[in-house]
Amino acid sequence: MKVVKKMKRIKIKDSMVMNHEVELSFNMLKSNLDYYGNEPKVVAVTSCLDKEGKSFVAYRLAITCANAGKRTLLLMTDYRKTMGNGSNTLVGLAEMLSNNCTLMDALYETDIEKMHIIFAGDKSKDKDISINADRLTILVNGLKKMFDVIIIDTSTIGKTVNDKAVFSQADGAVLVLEPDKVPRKLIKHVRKIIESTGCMLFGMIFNNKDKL
Amino acid sequence: MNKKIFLDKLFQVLNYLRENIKILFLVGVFTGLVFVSYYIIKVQIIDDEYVMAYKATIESEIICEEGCTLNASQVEDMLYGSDIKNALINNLGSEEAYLKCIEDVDMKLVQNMLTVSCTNLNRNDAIDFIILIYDILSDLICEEDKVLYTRSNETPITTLVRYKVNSDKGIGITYFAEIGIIVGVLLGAIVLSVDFLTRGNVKDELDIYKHFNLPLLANIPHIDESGEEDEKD
Repeated sequence: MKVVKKMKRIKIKDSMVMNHEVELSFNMLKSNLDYYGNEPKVVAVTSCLDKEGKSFVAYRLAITCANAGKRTLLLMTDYRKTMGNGSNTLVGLAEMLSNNCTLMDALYETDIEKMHIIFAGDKSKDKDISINADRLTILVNGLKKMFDVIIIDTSTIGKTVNDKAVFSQADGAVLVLEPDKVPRKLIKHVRKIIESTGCMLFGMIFNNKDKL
Repeated sequence: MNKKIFLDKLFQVLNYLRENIKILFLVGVFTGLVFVSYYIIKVQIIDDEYVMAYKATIESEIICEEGCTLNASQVEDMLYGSDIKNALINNLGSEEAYLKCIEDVDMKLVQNMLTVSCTNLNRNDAIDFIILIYDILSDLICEEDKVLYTRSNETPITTLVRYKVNSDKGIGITYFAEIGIIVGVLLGAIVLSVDFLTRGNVKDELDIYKHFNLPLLANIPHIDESGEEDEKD
């Protein structure tokens, strides 16, 4: 008898109230991505510096896409810090790429309709763990068939060795930055890295984290 | 309008300085330490031997015996003549030191009073020099005063040598430290302000378009912990 494994379900911690202004800005982001990116399937969300809010943007963008009726996957690739991971070890990309679990083990359903998450994996492991690019390509190609949109929450560019492997999977990337915090030279450098992987930089997102 | 822009910029600069208050503090402390080190090395160690004396002028008056025939040219001869030269070279250790000493010594004869002024000399050197003059002029010095000018009797010499010390040690170590900290904080603030005003950060949508030819896809407003957005103008 064949046993069908049931997908795990996770409740998304909604710590921030999505007010109207924020909702509007994410709807605008989604529309702009559709317009500039010609409805991309795989979008990487990244930043030049740490703590600029890329995980927040990726998470909210995924929710917005799911709310728009698209089958959405939030794929977390930053082993150093993952949203929703907490203190519990949640199997994810790291385990999947090292053949320690199957897709069904790592894929989480959420309480938001049509939204799924794959966490980065066990962060107690080596933080500089490198991603196997070939396996990731196979995985992402498979996921493309399952989902309409894949949002990749990446690590800060240059902080890990996985930039090339991750960005080469994406149709395009968006750069999250705080206004007046990031030097132009650094952005140019980061753009060069992204584009060298064959990934297109769609544009930038201002995340106003601090009040002046 | 310009005033508003100026005030906005000023506010931003002050905010930037506030964010970097630790750096300012560290720069201030570091500069204070540099100033204190300078004080200890230059003023306390080096100046003790030579430099500090430039602030002191030492004068001494030698009363010659009545009827002595010492005149101005003799005084000059004394100072530059071979007797005193040899004595000074012997005393100061080298001809170079003698030349340096002569530059800073002035002798004036008024009636029977010879005034010896030593400026820019280490105090001890100046006292030695004056004592040397007394020794050389011993024949001309009043009998009742003569005993006072000998090397062996130190007490009378110190009473006879008048010090004109403007400031013996200059400003103290605490002042150096305070000035150093203030200078450091001010310099740090200036450098940080200039850095803030001239650095090439991406500030708005126009910057993104101008420098990268890319669109601003979204501008997410500030959300505080209660979930309320920042008020925008």
